[in-house]
Amino acid sequence: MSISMMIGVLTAIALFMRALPFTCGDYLAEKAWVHRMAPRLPAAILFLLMVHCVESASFVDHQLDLLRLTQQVTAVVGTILLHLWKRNLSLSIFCGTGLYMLLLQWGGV
Amino acid sequence: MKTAVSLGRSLFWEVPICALKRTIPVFFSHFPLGLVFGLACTDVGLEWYWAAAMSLLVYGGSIQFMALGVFAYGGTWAELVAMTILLSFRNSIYGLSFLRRFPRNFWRRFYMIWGLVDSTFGILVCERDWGKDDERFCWWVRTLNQVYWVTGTLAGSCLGLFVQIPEGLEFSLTALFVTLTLEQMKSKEGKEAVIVASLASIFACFLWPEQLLGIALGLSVLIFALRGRKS
Repeated sequence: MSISMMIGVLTAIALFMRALPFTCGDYLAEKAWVHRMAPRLPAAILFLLMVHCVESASFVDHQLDLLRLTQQVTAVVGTILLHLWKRNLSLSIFCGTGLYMLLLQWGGV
Repeated sequence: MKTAVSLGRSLFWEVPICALKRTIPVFFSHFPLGLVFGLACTDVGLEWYWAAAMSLLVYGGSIQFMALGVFAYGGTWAELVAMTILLSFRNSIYGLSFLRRFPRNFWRRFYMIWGLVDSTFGILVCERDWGKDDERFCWWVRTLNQVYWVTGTLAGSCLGLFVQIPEGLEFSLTALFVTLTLEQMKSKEGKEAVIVASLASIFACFLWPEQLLGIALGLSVLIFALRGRKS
């Protein structure tokens, strides 16, 4: 497997997958199910991306690390509470990340 | 996707500065992760320009790491193709939210579609009120996010061990998704969607935990498409 071939194939597939809904864009834009989905999709995707982030960070060397999972969940809960209180995107992200880094320090990692 | 009323915010610098502000959390996760990717490429024996080419052309974190693994242990093409399709499945869902919004011009549309990754999707889908400057805002967010990723890769593969990043910074991306989810949950549909998605992810957890994201997303999409038909 040569590296240039590999990059070519990966680029083609990644592009194709991203462009898929656009290739039938006009057809899709008229479908009722797309309109039903439109207001719900972003929230579901963002939530799942969050779960995905927590999940992949909790695996250390392909092994579920309970300490890491606890730190992640604690930081997520902290971020949620702060955001519900202040409703300030930058502040929540900044403090949430700081909390997580602190937790890592305390956890002795 | 209603056309937003122009709020008269047309100052030349306001768009890139806001895009920069919005993408700061992405910088703190894409740059270190790009760094790790660059380092991993050097470990496998790839030159820095191959690492950079991958981040520039393929532009997908999970795909690139997977491909590096397959390349390193000499996997088959079938494996590579199947994994890539599986990993970029979620990207084909993202487009549904931008069918009307992305530019009409072929090359500009192409450029935006190419850059439709997790973080770009998240930021753009939550920020819709730029009116006539929307196209520029989208361009800046999309471009900045990739710049972080590519510079991280370059730093990792060229400078290698000289760069030290404090541990835990990558949580900024998780925190970004947490806050954006909460913003989306202000609406009734958003709350409903998060409930459906969390049930779907619990189900996926039992079914096939390694592919949690893909299965839960596919399931949620299916439920949204079928449900509400009566209402």
